This record gives sequence, C-alpha cells and structure tokens, in this order.
Amino acid sequence: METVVQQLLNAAQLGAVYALIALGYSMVYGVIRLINFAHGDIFMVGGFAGLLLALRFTWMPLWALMPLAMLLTALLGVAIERVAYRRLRQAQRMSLVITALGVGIFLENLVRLGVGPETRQIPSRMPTTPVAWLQDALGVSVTWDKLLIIFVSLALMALLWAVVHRTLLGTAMRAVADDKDVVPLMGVNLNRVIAVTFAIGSALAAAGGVFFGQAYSLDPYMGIDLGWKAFIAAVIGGIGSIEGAVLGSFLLAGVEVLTVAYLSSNLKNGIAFGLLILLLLIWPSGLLGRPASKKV
Amino acid sequence: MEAALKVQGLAKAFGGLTAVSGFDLELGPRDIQGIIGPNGAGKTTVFNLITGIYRPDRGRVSLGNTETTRFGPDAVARAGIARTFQNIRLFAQMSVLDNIRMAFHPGAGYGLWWATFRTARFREEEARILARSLEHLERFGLAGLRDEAAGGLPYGEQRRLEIARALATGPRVLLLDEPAAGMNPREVEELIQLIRKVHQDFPLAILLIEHQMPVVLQLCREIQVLDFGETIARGAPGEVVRDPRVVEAYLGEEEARA
Amino acid sequence: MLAPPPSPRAPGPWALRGLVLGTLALAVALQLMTEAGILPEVLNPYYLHLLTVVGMNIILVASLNLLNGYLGEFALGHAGFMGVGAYAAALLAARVLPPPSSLPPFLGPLLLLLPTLAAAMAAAAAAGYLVGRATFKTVGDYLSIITLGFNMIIVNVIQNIDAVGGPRGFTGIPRNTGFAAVAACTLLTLAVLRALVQSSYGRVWLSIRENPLAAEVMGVDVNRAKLQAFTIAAAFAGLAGGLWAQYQQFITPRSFDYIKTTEILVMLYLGGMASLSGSILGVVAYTLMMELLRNLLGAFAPQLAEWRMILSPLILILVMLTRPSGLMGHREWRWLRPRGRS
Repeated sequence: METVVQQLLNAAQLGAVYALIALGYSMVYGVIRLINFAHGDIFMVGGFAGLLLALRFTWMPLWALMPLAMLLTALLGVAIERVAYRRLRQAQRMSLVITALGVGIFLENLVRLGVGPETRQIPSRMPTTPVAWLQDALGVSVTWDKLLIIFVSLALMALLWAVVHRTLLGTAMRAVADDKDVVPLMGVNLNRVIAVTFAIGSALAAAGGVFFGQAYSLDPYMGIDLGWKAFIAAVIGGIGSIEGAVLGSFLLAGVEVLTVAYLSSNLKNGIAFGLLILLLLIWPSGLLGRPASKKV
Repeated sequence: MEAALKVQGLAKAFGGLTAVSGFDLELGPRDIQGIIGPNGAGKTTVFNLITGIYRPDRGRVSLGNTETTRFGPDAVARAGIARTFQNIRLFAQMSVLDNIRMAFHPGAGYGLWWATFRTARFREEEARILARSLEHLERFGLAGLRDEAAGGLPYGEQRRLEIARALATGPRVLLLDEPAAGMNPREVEELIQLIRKVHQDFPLAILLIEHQMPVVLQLCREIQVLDFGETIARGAPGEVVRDPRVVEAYLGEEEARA
Repeated sequence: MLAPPPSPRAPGPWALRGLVLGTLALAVALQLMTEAGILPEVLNPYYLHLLTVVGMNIILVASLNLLNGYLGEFALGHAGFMGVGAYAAALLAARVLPPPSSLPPFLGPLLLLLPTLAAAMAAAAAAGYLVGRATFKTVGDYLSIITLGFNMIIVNVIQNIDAVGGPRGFTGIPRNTGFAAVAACTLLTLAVLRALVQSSYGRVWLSIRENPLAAEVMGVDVNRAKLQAFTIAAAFAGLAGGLWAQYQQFITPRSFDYIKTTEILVMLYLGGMASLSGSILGVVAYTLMMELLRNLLGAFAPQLAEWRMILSPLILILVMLTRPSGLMGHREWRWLRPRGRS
C-alpha cells in the first residue's frame, strides 16, 4: 500500500511537468490548429535557460530564477512564431508542421553545439528536506521539493485557467480558437492574441523545464521524447481544452509510473501509446474535447 | 406505377431540436418534385437523411425495392441516388475530366493488381472510362475545359460540372440542393433548360430544393412546403404557392429578416 | 462541339522503358564493377553508398506520399512499417534461409532477396492494414496521432522481443543487397506507384483528399480506399526496410522510431506533396544538402562540420517559407506524367 502511494506521488510530480508542457501544445493548437512540433524543444530550451542562469548567478533564488527563465523562453516562443510561422498561417497546413519540425531540430542542435551533448542537472534551489507530518500520515517519503513542484505547477495551471476564462485576453483567445476568420472583424488584433498564446505556452513549458532539470535531468534531445509524451497527454484529454490537458497529463504519468513500478520499464512506451490508441478509439476527440461535427 | 423513391415518416432531431418530423414522399420513376420552405425549415436535412449522411430517428427510405434507410452515403449512392450540394462540393484541385472520371470507380472493371501492373485489361478499361467521360463532358458543354482545375471554373460552370458529375454515376434518382442559388435570372433560365434536358436524356427522377420560384414553377409536377420540419402544404406548384399557410410561412420569414 | 485540346508531345512508352532499362543496366554494371574492384575514378564506394541510401529513401518517401500527398492524410508512422519489414526480412535471411556463401555468386543473393523482400512487404502490409483499420473512426490530427502511436508501439514491441536482440539490435544479417538491387526496387516502386496514382484508385484517393463527403456521395467507400492506401504504402515501406536490413547487416529498433519518420517527412515535404517527381527531388536535395554541408564546412575547418546540424534545419525552414508547397508540389516531371496529356 505504501509503495502505491509513493508511486502515485512520483506520478503526480511527473504529471505536473507533462501538464506544463501539454498546455502549450493545447493552447497553440487551439488558436492556429498547429501541432507545434517545436514545443518540446522550447521546453528543453527553458530547462537549459534555467541551468545557465543557475550556474551564472549562483546567488539567485528559485523564485527569481524561474520567472526569468520563463520570460526568456516566452521571448523565444514569440520570436519563433513571428519569424517562422506567421508567414505560413494561410498556407497549406502541412508546410507549417514541417517548419515546426525544422525549428525543433534547429533548437536541439543549437543547444547541443552551444552547451554540449552531456546530461546535466540544475543545482537544486529547493529544500529537499522531508515533510515530517505528511510522512507520518502517509508512511512514505515526501520531500518539500516534490510538493513544491506539484503545487506550483497546479497554481500556474489555475492562473492560466483564470486568464483564459476570466479576462478579456482569454475571451479573445477563445474567440480565435472558435473562428479565426471573424475575429479581426470584432476588433481583436489576431497577431497579438497569437503572440500572447505562444508567450504563455512557452513560459509554462520553461517552468516545466526548470522543474524537470532539478527533479530529473536535462539533455538537448529530451524535448523530443517528453514533447511527444506531453502532446499525447493533451490529445488524450482533448486537445484545445485546458482541463483536458491537465487530466491527460496526470493520467499518462500515472500509467507510466505504475507500468515501470509493477510491470517493466521496457514496456513503458508501448503501454502509454497503447492506452492512447485505445482511448482515442473510444473517445475520438479525447476525454474532454469537443466532438468533431459533420458539416454539410 | 411503382415509386422510384419512397420516403415514409422520416424524422430527425438534433439534441432535442426537431429538424424534420414525419416527412413523406413518393417520387415516380420519371417524376420531378420540389421541396420549398423558409431557411432552416429542414430541407437540406431531408436530403442528408435520404442520402445516408444522417441516420434518421424514425421512418423508412426505399429506392425501388431496396430499403436504404440504414445505408451509409456510399452505399446509397451505389444503390442509385446521386446528389449535389447547396455549397458546391467539387474536387477542386482535380481536373474537370478527373472529376467525372472518378465517378466510374465502382465499375472500374479492374482490380488493384491490374492497375499495379498496367495490364491490357487495365488499359482497355481506362480507355473506355476516358471515352465515356469525354462523351459525358461533351453533353454538358464542358469538354473544352477538361484539363482545367475544377475549383478554378466560373460559378455557373461549377454548378454544371457538379450536376454532370452526379449523373456520371448513372443514378435512378437525382437530388439537387438549391441548384439556382446565387444565379441571375438569365443563368436561372439556362439552368432550367439544363435540368429539362437532363430529365429528357437520362432515365431518372429528380427531387429538388429551391428558393427561386421560376425553377419550381416551371419544372416540378408536385411540390411540398416545409416549415419547422413539417410539411404544411403539398400539391401542384401553382396552387401551393397561393396556399395561405405557405404565404404566412414565407411572410413570417420576411418579417423576421426585416 | 469543341476540338479536343492539342496534346503536346509527351514521351511515348519507349522513352520511359528506355530510361528504366538504361538505369538498370547501369546499376548492374556498377555493381559488377564494384565487386570486381574496377570502379571509375569518380564513382568511389562512398558515392555508390550514397546512391544506394538515396534509392531506399526514395521508396520510403514516395510510398508515404501516397498517404500524405494523394490521400491527404498526415500519417506519422512510416518508419514503423519500415521496421516491421526490416525485421521480417532479417529473420528470414539470418535464421531460415541458407547463407549466401552456400549459394552461387550473383544468382544466390537474388534467390535470397526475392523471398525476404516478399516477406518484408507482406509483414509490413499486414501492419499497415491493422493501422488502417484503427484509423477508421478518426480523421485529421487524430489519425496522425494514431499512426504515430503505432510507430512507437512497433518499436517498443521489437525492443521487448529477445529473440531478435531486443534493444541491442539484430546482428549477423547476410548482405544480400547492393546498389543494383536497390536501384531495381526503386524503379519498380516508382513504376507501380505511378501506375496506381494514375488509375481510378488514384483518382479516388485524390477525391477523398479534396472532399471526403463528396467522394462518399459519389459511391466511394472511404474506409476501404483508405485501407488500400495504408496497406500499399506500408508494403513499400516494408520493402525499403527489407533492403535496408540486408544492406546494413545490423538493425536496432531505434533506427525505426520517430526520428526516422521525421526524416522521411522532411524529405517528402521538401520535395512536395502529391508528386512523385517531388519525392525523388526531395530525397536527392536533402542528401546532397547534408553531404555538401558536411564537405564544404569540413573543408574550412573540421570542427565546422558540426554546424551543418543547425544549418540544414535552417535551410529547410527557408525552403518552406519561400516555397510552402515544396520544391515540386502537385507538379510532375514529364516522364512521370500520364501519357498523351498536357
């Protein structure tokens, strides 16, 4: 029993990181219907931004370091959209997807050449002391950093939810997601809404990267694997839906962690993707996605 | 005379909203009938139910002796019902010729293996399909445009091509969804002539949805008027348009627009 | 009424046949010269190797074009089918059939190639059929995700089969392929795909891409047509895999994961959709670009050679920004066009 609780706690930590990445996929898909293949690599760059800041400014506390990494990565996301995607918005969809792939490969190799191919870890800026009262209650090892990752991620997601559902900006984003073509007629600056979407998505991914770099490790190619996973989480939940992305992320992380713990680590990917296909066959638009309607 | 297309008690609701309730129709083998009614009356829904795009909640559709109620759109088409769409649906990037040629697929007469190895049988069949398609295009005055991309044709010609394409499947019943939409009076006149000619040259029955009264008045033997999914009047076009309920349904729409 | 439009002179069947036979003769000659060690100066084994890889990639890209270009889907799992074919061929060649050394030269590898490649195509086709069935209920991006998922699952399943080496890979595959065999298979693939896309099957695939609903009301069984396209495309990916296994003599599951799929996609879109000429051009241009960058940058300074890794994606982005439909999108070279038409 204790081990199950322990595994679920690990899954919650991994799921929180997945969710931070998955939200960016989901938001970008919502506004411009693009599977942004570079997003996993933006997450990776975010992690490395955190690493470089931590190494350069050893005095900087996490609460300053993380927003800074998020800001830098947000600028990167906006720049990518401006330079590589905007011109192709009206073109055939697939050329945009391939451009995104190209951007992703570019970022991977740039970081590899700039920082080196080694696996690195961000020196921890979080207290790793155990949470005594929680340990006593659950009978498993709980450390402060794990709790911080889970709760800060959840707080960021709640903030995002509030922005999307409670502000004018969020209304504009949802309007763009509904019908891109009528939005300029309503006096909304389409380019600005899309830029803000990329900024928010990239910033969240960077938060995920900084957490991941402390809890696990960083390498230039990690964005491929984790990016796909987070993307799948977004799809399972119903791409375009914030709640769906979060739900899908925790679900996927749970399945993965439990597979590794009780079956075999070799089966991790197979089971994760098998689950994906099975869920999509039952719910073709994801768990919380809107079903596609046949328009005649 | 046995009906070519028989529809009984067709009904469909979308999430509690009734789109069509109790639609009946009996279309003779060489008949032309029309459906009119204000926007949102459920006319296109009737077409979508007949062609298998939507599954009806209740009712039956049969084509001759075959019941097609539960058929998918492709099976309905193979059974002998062809249609056009209110918003033209051509294969825009394909040539005019290929728009017609693809219609001969179900009877292409050769299997994948023949196509793979370009056997004599394959080449013969392809030559036959090409000849028939060109003949078909000729009939509709589109032969000169054979290599144009369908999406680049002027509007009127797109309509004509869509009708030609529907006829290439050799249907027994042709459904036309607002064929005169967006046409000026001269084009409407041409369209009426075209539909007349189609009806003469092809052994089929026609059911059409139309807003333009001249089309309905000149072509249809019988029409029915739909309003809120229900048939409120039916009969010869000249009489139906004077029916007070019909006038009211249309006037109501005019007022709503104003 | 109107006279048929003048049809510009297109090459007759002889031109095409001549091209095919000529290429084949050249391929066999090159192969024999390599084996005898008498290659002309310009064609060292390195170039021959590049040409062989180009051939296999053309098979992969052209067959993916069937799905992504002609059928208009966005399939993301092509390397998975390649992997299935590679492992099927490897198993047959290394474990079942006699080693090539026990057979006469030249004829021996040929006798081994036919059954192994047939098995590779059949196994991959079966996988393609399954994936095609699984995509019935989905379209668009969800279809992409299912194909991607299958790619991952195929790789993961192979990683968990110890009999084929698991994650360490499959070693000791006899080398039954060379440039000539690959060239022959490439030409065969192009000929078959060209025949198919110009047949009524090809027109049906295009019509599904253009307007699936209109295709359906024209009597097209969309699911059946999709299934055919998936099965055929997978079979040719399997052929490439079978050739690859018996050329490299060593395969690992990871060589067939999404990184390979991505490479195939990049070459496909670089060349352009729904164009077999584009598929050829995309592969050649991509390979040339990578090799040129390697050699050019390496000539300045060896450490610069690394920079091609960031230059090549930049070039790809530039091409997509300036030519969003790829180099040859929707157009064909004359010898790949239907005969007698403009």
